[in-house]
Amino acid sequence: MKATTSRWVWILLAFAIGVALPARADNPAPRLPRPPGASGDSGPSRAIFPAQTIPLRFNHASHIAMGQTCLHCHPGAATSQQTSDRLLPRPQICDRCHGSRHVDIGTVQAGPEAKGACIFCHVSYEASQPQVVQRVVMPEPVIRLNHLAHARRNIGCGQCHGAVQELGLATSDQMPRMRGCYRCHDLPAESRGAAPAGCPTCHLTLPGGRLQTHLPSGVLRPPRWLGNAKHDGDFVHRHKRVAGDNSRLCASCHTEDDCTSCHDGRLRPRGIHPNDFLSMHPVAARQNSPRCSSCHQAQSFCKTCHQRAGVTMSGSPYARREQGRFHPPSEVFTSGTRTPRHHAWEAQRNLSACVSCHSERDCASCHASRGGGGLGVNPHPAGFLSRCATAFRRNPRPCLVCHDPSEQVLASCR
Amino acid sequence: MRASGLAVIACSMLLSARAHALDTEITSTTGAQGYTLRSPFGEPVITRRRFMQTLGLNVVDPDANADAMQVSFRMRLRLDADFGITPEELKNGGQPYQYVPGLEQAPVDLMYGYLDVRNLAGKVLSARLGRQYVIDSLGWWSFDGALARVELPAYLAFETYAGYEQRGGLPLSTPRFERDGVWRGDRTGLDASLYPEYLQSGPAPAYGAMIETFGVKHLHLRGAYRRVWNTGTVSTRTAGYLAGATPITISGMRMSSERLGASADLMFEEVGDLRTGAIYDLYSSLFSSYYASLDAFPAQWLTVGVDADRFVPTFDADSIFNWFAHYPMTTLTGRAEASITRRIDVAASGGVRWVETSDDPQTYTAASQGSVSRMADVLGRLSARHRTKSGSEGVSATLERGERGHREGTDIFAERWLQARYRLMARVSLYDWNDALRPDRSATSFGYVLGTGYRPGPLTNILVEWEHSTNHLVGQRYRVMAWLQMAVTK
Repeated sequence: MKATTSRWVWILLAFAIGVALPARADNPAPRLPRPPGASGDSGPSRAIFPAQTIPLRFNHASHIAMGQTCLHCHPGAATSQQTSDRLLPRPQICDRCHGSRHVDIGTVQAGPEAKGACIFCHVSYEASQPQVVQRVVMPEPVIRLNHLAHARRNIGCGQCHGAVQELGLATSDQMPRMRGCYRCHDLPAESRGAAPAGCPTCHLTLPGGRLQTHLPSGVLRPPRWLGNAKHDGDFVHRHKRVAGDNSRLCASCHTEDDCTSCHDGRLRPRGIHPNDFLSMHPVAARQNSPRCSSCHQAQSFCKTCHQRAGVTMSGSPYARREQGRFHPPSEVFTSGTRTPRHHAWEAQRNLSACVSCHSERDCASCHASRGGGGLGVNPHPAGFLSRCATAFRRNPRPCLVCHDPSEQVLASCR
Repeated sequence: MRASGLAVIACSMLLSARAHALDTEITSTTGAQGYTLRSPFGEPVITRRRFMQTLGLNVVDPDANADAMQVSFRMRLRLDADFGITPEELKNGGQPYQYVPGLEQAPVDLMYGYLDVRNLAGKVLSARLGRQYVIDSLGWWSFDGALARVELPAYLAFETYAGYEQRGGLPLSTPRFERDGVWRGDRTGLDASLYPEYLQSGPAPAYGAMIETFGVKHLHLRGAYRRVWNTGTVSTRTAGYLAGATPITISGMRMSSERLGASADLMFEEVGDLRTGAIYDLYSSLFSSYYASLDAFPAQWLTVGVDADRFVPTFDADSIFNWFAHYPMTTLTGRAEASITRRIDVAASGGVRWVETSDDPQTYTAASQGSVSRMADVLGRLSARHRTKSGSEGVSATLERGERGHREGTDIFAERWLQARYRLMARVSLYDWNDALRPDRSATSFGYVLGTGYRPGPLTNILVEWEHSTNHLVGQRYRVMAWLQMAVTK
């Protein structure tokens, strides 16, 4: 019984490790036409593989059925070391079987059989303009890729491009997906060779190693499967958790300047603070001032401006006298009995908002003990006494702001 | 200032030995803004004439072998001036109550400046020296010092660092990264009887450590710890302080903050993502924040999820506010995001946020027993975007509504690059807000921004924006802004 239990423990442990750690198994050739990692997507990134125009009729499946291989038509695919190499078959390769002659592209000759007719392949062919067909436009992928390195590791075409042998016309949908690349490149070094899963392995980089995200063909943005960091409509509101947990993922594309432009910026990000935010920010802060602290240090950023505007207790009494109170009248907000508009509730529910205008003296003038220069209105929460000794030992200053060192009440905290 | 200059020269000399192999990039951002800021009472009207200039230098080795030692240097200086500040606000002269401690007309700060060395000790060790940012489970922070990172051959990495927290009032520094609750800066020349609650800034020794996983399929874990001290002599008694009296002070090293954070992300590509984290404040002996978010991926184009977040403000240990009664703010929302096409995405979220008090404000009497009561806000957010290579258009809407008032409105925006060179942008906003404590400061606002830009080259941008907002509280408000970004690489 004990041995059986032990065996199950080992099996479960092995399963857990197998789930958690990268698989080392070989990647079998795909049986689905789409490339590995393409499941459910609408095609590869247009920024990496810009839009193509392929005005041709072509059937990969029938060519394979006739005994052709990929390299018959794409001979450079096994030796290419850069994406600027043109791996599409030259028309002369077609001529070998179709009987046509594309040697001089200005005077192309059709073949003698139906399969050699221009319209057999060129969908735009019109007899009235026999030498004019629509061009194939296949922009260079904006990526680093070395076919030779893959071929040397015995990686078949289908492992990146899917089961093209089952297709008619192949389109950009057959181009590799990053998620598919990760199936090998995310493996331990002994399995994946010298090309790790780091971005610079495939993506163009700027000096210093960061990704070049703004390309002429578009902007690179992370997919959802990469750390759930898809830059969707509300990513700006949830990115702090992604960054807090895995800031190195962010650093693949972003520098400090991208963070500082909002979080330590001197320019208001309009996506966060809409027009006229200056007028509405008191209401926004009153409702949720903890959010303010992700960019603003209240006692410097907020208080300085509030003091200039005469909104604080400290600062110009002349300005305050001229302006009136920011809060409800004193007899409602401060000195009167506790109605729902009393400041005690505001402080309890959102103390950060108080700190954006008030310095400690404003509060201590009432909440300090009488020996400490105040009126002795106790601001401490229930259960405070159980924590005060530790707090005093670590930093006695806040205690001494409100209490005279000789006060008996401090003795219990020492 | 002198120390930073010497550091830059030393780094330049260090790097100059291999100057033939280095890429140098100098970046610059120049910004000018002019606008008025009207007090909620109408007067005074503060005129802000702001000018900002940043200057960055990046030196990297573009040809460095991935397996060899890599050295780079990055720095960015910033001048942030406001020529609308009056002399009375800057100088403690004849009108001391117009003086605003900490206000500077043209402060210069070193945003970051560090030497980065990677691939030491067989690619296991990397290090940074200088002013740098730390982004971890505890948030975003900056310090001057050294950081070392050790990456084991698989699955685990460790970081440790030590130095001084960046603090306002010190040379080339801003208060942006200090913990809140203390008004701190340079008191030089300020009489002890004036603003005793404005504390003299001093060096803040700090150290921290982080551990995280990497390369583990489906799972990422991170834990972080940081401790910061306050030093120097600062006043204690600020209430009832009499001018001319001998200030009561405290000196020596004492805690500023000590916090422990952890986060975890468990993700299965086709299923969903569970992300959670917490921060424990060792000084206040409480969890200052914890959250969990669960996303499900029912389709490639659709994400749905729920988020829960609980937050209690904590402050610098020099601050009295840690020990004022205050209670958590909890937010619970659901969200959905749909990528309708490659170019169009829509995101919506809604939920509730509640804050706690120790009694019910509606029924409170002096004899109340301190039972917990809650005030709730209803939240909603919607955004839709259409993005193309040449620009984007979209709409966003916000709703926050509760006992303390409401704020709701919408923005419509569009940006378009013509021939990848000329930029046009516009944004229109309509917002309505209500302040339940001061209904007289409720308003409806309409505003718009028009902008244009020109890109003379791939690394240069010129932008100009005009903003006009109007509401019955402040009348008409205008802002004009001009922006120039440049980079030179060699």
